[in-house]
Amino acid sequence: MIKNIKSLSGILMIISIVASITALILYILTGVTPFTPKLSTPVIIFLSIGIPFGIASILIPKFSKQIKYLAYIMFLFAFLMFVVAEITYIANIFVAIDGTSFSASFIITFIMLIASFVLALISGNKEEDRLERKEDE
Amino acid sequence: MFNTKRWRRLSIITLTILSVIITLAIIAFDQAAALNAAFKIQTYKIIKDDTSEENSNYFELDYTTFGPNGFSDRNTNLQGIKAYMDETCEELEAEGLVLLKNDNNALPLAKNSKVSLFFQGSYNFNYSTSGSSATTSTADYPTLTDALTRSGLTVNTTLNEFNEKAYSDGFKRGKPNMVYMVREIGYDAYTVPVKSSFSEYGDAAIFVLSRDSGEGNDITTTGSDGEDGTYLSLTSKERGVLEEITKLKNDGVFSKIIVILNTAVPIQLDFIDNENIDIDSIIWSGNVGSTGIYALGKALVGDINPSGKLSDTFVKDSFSSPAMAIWELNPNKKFTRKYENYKDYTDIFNETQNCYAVYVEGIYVGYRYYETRYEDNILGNTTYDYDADVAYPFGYGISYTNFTYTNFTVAEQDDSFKVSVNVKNTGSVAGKESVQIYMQKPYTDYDIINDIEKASIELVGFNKTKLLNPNEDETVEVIIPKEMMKSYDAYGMGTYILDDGDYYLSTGKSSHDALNNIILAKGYTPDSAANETLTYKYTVDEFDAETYSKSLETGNDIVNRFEFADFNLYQNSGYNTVTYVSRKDWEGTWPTESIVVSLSDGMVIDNTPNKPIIEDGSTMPIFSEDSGLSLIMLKGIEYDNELWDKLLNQMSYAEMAYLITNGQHNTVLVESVNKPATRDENGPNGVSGSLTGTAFPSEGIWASSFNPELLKKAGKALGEDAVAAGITGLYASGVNIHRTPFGGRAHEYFSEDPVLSGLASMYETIGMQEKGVWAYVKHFAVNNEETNRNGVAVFLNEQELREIMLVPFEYSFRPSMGNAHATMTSFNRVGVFWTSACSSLMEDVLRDEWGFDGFAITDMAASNAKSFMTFVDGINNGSDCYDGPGSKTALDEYKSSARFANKMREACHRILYVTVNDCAVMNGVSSTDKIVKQASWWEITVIGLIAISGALAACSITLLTLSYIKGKK
Repeated sequence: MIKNIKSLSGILMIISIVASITALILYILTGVTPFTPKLSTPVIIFLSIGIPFGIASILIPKFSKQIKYLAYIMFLFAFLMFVVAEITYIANIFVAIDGTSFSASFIITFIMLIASFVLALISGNKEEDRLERKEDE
Repeated sequence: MFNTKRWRRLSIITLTILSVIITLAIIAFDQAAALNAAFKIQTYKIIKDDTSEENSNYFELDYTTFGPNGFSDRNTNLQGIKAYMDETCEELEAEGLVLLKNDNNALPLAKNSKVSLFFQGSYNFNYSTSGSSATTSTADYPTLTDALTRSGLTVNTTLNEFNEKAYSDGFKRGKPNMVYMVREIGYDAYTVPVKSSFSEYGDAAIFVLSRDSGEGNDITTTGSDGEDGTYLSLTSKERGVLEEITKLKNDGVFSKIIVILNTAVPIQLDFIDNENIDIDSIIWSGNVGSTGIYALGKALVGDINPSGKLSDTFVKDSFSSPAMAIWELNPNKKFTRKYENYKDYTDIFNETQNCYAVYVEGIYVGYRYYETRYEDNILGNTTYDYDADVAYPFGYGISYTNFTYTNFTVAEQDDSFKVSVNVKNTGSVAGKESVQIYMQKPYTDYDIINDIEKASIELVGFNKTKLLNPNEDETVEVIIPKEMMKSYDAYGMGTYILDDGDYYLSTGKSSHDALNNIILAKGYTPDSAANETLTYKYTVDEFDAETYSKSLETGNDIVNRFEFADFNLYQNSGYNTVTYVSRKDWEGTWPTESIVVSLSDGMVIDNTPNKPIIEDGSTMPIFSEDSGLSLIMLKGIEYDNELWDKLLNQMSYAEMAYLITNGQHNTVLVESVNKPATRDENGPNGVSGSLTGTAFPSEGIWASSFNPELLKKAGKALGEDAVAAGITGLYASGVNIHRTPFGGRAHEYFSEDPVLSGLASMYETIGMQEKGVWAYVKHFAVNNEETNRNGVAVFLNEQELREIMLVPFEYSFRPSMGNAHATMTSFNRVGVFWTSACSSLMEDVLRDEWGFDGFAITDMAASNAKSFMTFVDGINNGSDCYDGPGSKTALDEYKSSARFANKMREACHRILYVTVNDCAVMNGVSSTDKIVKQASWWEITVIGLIAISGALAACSITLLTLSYIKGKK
């Protein structure tokens, strides 16, 4: 497990987990707005499943690669569901009628969600490469 | 072939792509209406019956003809319509710009004069605005230099280059952190070469004072760089430059100083009394649109003789009105406040339910305040310095020539007065004159006891002369309905009354001038020369609470409908009360502190959206029962004819839901009744997405023309421009009242005066609808400011609501007047009820009293639909369509409610009725044609991409699985 954490793939996954936790907390605290008076349940669910997957990928080296990819899928879906839930807000800003702009919390949540799935994907790829090199050795 | 790693990676990639495409597809289909509008996609096709001999060309246009397939088969004379639009724009500016001051005949300038242009506005002229009425780009618009050069003037290029550099160095108007800033460059930065150029170009120093405005934010009242903290006062830099140039004028470097007020909203004109600033001429140009600047150039050299009259009072103190007095007292000098106890409700309320504004001014909006208090000062009832507040009164405007008024006569007819006045051009230059007719109603003991306010002077009608040559005269007639004499008695009879007493009709060259004539006729001494022969007294002998207690349009009773908006009558007001400003006691009722309101338990209930549906015993309507009818067959059929029931029975619940909820810039195709989709776009200063790209001047300039025929022409032009682009509904005209100078959307609204606003809208609507384009007159109602517009609760008394705020809408909608077939409601509330969910507004007044026969759409529902602009509240209370991306299943949760289903049916009925009778989209549709949905290219592309990426993902996963199996073997 320690080897797993110290590897590049492990480090990337830890950052991904941190990003996803940040996104989840920020979303729960600031996600309710006049444009979206209710939080999106799929976002919370996918993040809530993805985070344990990410942690498990570090704790269970044997299936680390597969679990990393599962975490990636969960984080990707969380991001996509976030975009769907916020589409009226996003469209309102691009229509640029009333000067509404992206809030700081929205921007950070958006970035953290992207970071979480991108890093999880790269982490999975790196894990795969690492295991291949190990096999070749 | 069975490389596990390869197939794993490909699986992940294809699954990722598939997920993204599906998500984009969900979003695209959700926003389908907006996408189709943006890409100008026609979503239906007509399957023609070639054997039909019906004439299906229902609307004839001047610049667009229709081929065999009707509306979708348009052929536009693009050059012709562009020229027509440009000409109309210039004409609006020509007749609307107002000459306010012209000492020593400083204007017109001689052609071949050499002039210097000052201030950033001379380089960055204000043509338009931001928000829904913005033009796409002003980069190709003619500059002021272009316009002046075309008019024969020579412009100081050294100074122009300096202005251009200053602009690129950041000395330009802007709105950092939502605060409007001027950021003019100071005189100390003027270089030696620039100063040296003045003497060569010293025939005139022309200053362009520009101020922006736009949707979403009010004009800044504090924190701007204007000297008093507002955006509408001069900045110290502007003042400094004016003072320095005045010195140069005194030294003979400049011959004259001319100021152009290039702003839709009234700039504070305190500086005209500044002894260090010597201005010879002032012109108000408003925002000039795409070609109006040429009219300004022509006016400066006398090719056009200004004939506009102010549609707003221009004041020396922007906070002098009662509406602004309360604004100034609010925290941060904001239009709104939060309820005192809003924090107690944060678990159930959101930002759209926390704010309110109280209109304490009653009917004393604009000149109604200034002129009434002025008269009361003369009558000895108050102390008031009119000249300290008012720079130029409502209706004021001078000319390069002079006009005299004689033979003012009034002939009483059955329901009206025919007012005539002879206007003679006694000057040396041809010109037009706007004739304004005003009325004074008696302020009686009954009024005082029952808190009915009466303004000293009210505009009741207008007309304009033709172009009169020197010594030529014309007798101008204006018909004034007797209905104009009524007043609203909210606290007594609860309806409109006709007071007994003396009514005066008058004319004059401004509201102040007309009032002075009346004051003289009454035996008092006005502040300037007056002419009592320009007045007519009409005496009503008996108090009458009957004649106007029923609608002249429908015969239905008119009673108090809005007690919930007045804290002094609202049954759920709790401890909240309001003191309205009253001429009974100006000083005693003048606002001295901000009005603090606490939510009562009753208000909390009223303020909560998603109210339960109360069944009314109606039966569930029929759905999806085909009678073989087509919408076009019902053209000209009365609204209540049973054929409409049969047609509506053909629609499914899903179709009705889709028609009602998906109104974002369109009304959707309904295949079961052969209704084509329609496309709607923003105005009101132009047609968004038009082929010509023409923007008209700000609406205040239109109104300042006081020219009914020109206003009608503007409507026709917009109609032509719209149809050419495939648009048959325009979110125009904007008719909310200029309650204060700081309203952010003032450029889209006409005036502080309800009659001028109403008549301007009426003429525009008539012109537009002649072309088969619906006028969605907006925003219904009391959307006078932008701050916290999403859900702000506006409290006011019913007299102000009926006599000021609603009049422009009434004139637009009544079938005997504008007969507008559509309206757009507002984001705000009346009292705590969202306007679209206020049945008093949407049903009782709009339909029962006024006889409106069209349909009502919400404002952009995508923003707030889930928080307070809810389907159940709107549809249940008389709204018909939502400006948002709805769906066929959006109303499924209400399927079991018979009442709601009937409300949906009624909404669809209204939309279909107006479509078939009043919409150019029906051109080319005959009774035997079939209208079918046509997939758009993006829908086909998206579905194709899903199929391809889905297939690729499936292949990858299959091969991955096989590779695993092979690996295990």
